[in-house]
Amino acid sequence: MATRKKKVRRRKAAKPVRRTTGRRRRASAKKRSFGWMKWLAGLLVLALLVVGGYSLYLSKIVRVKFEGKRWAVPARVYARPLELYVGAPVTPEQLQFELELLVYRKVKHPRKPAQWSRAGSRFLIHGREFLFWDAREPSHQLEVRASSNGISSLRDARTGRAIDLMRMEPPVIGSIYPSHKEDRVLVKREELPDHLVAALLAAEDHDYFHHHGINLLSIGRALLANLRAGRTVQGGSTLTQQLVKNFWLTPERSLWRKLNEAWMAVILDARYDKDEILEAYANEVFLGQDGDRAIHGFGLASWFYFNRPLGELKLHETALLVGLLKGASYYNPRRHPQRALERRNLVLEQMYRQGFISREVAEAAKRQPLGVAKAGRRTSARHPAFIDLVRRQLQRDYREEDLTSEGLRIFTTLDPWAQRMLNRELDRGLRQLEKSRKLGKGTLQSAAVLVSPQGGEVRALSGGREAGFAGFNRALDAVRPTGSLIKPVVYLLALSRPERYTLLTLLEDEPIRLRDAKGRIWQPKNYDHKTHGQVPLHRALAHSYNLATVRLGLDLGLDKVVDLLHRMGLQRPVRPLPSLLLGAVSLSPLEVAQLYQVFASGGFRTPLRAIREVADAAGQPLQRYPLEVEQVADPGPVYLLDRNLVEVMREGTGKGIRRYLPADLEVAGKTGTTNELRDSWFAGFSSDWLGVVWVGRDDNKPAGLTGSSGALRLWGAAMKALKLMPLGLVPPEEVIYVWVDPKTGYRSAEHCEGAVAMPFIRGSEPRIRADCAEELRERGFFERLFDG
Amino acid sequence: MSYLLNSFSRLLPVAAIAFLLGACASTGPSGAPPKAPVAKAPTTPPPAAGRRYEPPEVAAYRPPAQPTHAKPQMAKAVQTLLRRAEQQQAEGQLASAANTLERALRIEPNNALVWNRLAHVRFEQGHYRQAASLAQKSRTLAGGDAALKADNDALIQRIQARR
Repeated sequence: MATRKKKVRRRKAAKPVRRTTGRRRRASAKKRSFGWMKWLAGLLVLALLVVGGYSLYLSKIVRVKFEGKRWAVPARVYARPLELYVGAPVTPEQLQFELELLVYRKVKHPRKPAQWSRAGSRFLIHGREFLFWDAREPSHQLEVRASSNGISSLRDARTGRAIDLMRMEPPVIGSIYPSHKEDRVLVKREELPDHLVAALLAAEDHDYFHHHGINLLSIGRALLANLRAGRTVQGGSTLTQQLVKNFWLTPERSLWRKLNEAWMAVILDARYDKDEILEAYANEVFLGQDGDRAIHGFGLASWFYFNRPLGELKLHETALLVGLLKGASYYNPRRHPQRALERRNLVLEQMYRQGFISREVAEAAKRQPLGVAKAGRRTSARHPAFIDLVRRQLQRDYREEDLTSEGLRIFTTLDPWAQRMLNRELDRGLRQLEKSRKLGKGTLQSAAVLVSPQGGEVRALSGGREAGFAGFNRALDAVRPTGSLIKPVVYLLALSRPERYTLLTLLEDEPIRLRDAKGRIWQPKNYDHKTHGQVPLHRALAHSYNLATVRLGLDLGLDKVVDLLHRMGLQRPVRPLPSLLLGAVSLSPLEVAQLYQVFASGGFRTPLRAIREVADAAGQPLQRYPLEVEQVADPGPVYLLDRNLVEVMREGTGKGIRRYLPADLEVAGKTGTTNELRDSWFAGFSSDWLGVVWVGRDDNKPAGLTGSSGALRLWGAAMKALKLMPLGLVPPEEVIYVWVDPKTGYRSAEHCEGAVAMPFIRGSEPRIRADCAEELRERGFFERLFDG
Repeated sequence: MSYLLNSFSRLLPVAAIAFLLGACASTGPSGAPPKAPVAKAPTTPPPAAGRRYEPPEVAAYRPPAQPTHAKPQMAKAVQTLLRRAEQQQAEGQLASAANTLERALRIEPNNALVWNRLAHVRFEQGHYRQAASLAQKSRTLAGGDAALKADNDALIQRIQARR
């Protein structure tokens, strides 16, 4: 833009110089009247050359822009598509939410795409066609029955035939803009509705398809009107001229610019097809402002004002958009509805007068309300934390310039419903905590990540309390000490050595004094400031005993713990200090989620992903982010650890979960609390959700919350809202259950008093039999079952 | 310690159902497509190494461990995707097949058969490391399906032999 401006100015400066040389030559021509004719001819040739050369120059400018890439189209970011099938855990509330997010319209009888109706549990949905990265999903008409248990029936609404599976259109959740914040949804000429073209012609340039870029008659008429009024009251510009003005010229008003504009319009018209120019015009024009985002073109304006694609607009709606061409802010239908209405009706009147529509149609359209959607589709603002993560993952593979200009389509893993539940519960939970703990309003902050355990897909992300506020993204950037959250890593390492450690191995929970690298004494304590003597390993984890854990970790070797952390996917360097065992290592919630993903998926690490696919503007897939797994821990030890983390939730530090989830709904998890209650953490999982929540203060002052009194509550509330499925762990083949006496750790039997069934890695089960078990050597039925 | 008792008593119906399912696994749905391979009981001896694993039947869906939350109908969507992936794989559209199987895994993340299929597709794509990991994953989820386990083992062996 800047260079173009310079070129135009330079031309202007050059002109007068040329004129003076011309005068000098003319003066010399008078002296010698003999060559007068010759000189005139020469001058004419010269003038022709100048004009011709200048035309060529303008023509080149026109060609470069018009045939090159005309617009920077921001990358569009999509949420995951909702999959509908019988048994899908989609409640009526969620289905309605998803339809509203897609801005489908609720009607009595859906007849057109993007409409739906609901009668009780029965939904009729007429979906839009959508171009996915792998296939085009055609427009569909569905009959869906949903209840609180999920979808019970899915049929084709026309034929009544059952449908196995249907992928809905994914909602747009944001765009990645270039720095100048111009946004666009490109439309093709054939996508412009006829009534839009008619309205354009009627209101702006009725002779468009006949003139040659400029319309001398209307320029003359405008000139006359302006002279009569003494100021500019009427413009005589054709659509072509308006496009030229927007595309190539500065907004200044001068005769020189006007001449350039006219000349370029003629060139443009001569070189290109009317339809091509019209398409460019329809995509270029400025039609509104949304915060710092400029709304360009009818494609985006249609979404911005009506929440629908251009093809679905009705006559009175396109007339409104065309009316905005005269002044998008002056006629802003949201701010000045009366002005906008009058302007729209004027456009309709012009359409009637010029014979594009009948009087009846015009009058009927004039009676329509404006129909503008309440809020703009400010989707970019809705999920700033998640979009931030997407952007960071993309920046590894794409240049910033391509992201903001190539019109890429980015298909992400965001589950908008889960995100909404998470935002709601975090907000509610924090306010309750502040109230019940008498903390100042707004002092607490939070961050959270929701992940699919097996697939490693980030389904929701909260970067802070104000979900719609793009600021410090705590889920990625708040790197905080993790406290006891790190302990399961130590215990997994122990259980990976079944010859040495089982869930029943006794650990010493006794005071310990250590010297750190600088010779300072480090003397950890238990949270309750007590020691517990000899405790079985599983109980030490369930109750989060610090002393037992430090002794265990030192026995295993600090470097081995660090190794395991890195194998599990931690990328930042960790110093092998004893304090590491109690969570002196600082991590972000996202990093914690990566570690717990390994626990939640039986020892298989899947790098967390926020993106599934990137496709170009035409729908061609550019890059896949496939599901990748790597086994980093044996399934047996992970199974034992997970059973232990279930115990945490049943009778350990996580038992407060029962206020949120029923007792028979099995989940696994671990609390984390740091020194002076600065950080409250919780990480836990069911079979379908893994969640990590952090609560604390931005100024790092004590928040006064433990993992269980803070983060656990928010986690529990969010999980309750998500209606999760129980953990349902299946023991791997190397695990057997045997009856043991929990007091002694000896082998017991089913009928013995107090006997419990405990999982062991095969071969590590206790050999010594308790007295009771000696009486009955025969093994119980269930034991045999598990052994098998 | 009561949790162990609880969890054990909860596992009881699971075990019982798994047992029953194992007993009647050879009775497939009547609506199975004509091209479906001959139904085999899970006890069928593992196929020779190197041969492609054929599932016991198209509806080789094992319900999740929690019978109260098992949704037998759910398998239909996954079955459809499995069939589609099979077709795509046969036509050489490996990326699409992988994509379809990933879709199925989002619906049933613990379905060992789908993980196995994805392992085979990755193998055909030449992503041997991933194929081995995926087969390993399928193996840990396979439960009592000896044939499926054996197929995963065979695939892992083929990959190791390549190295």
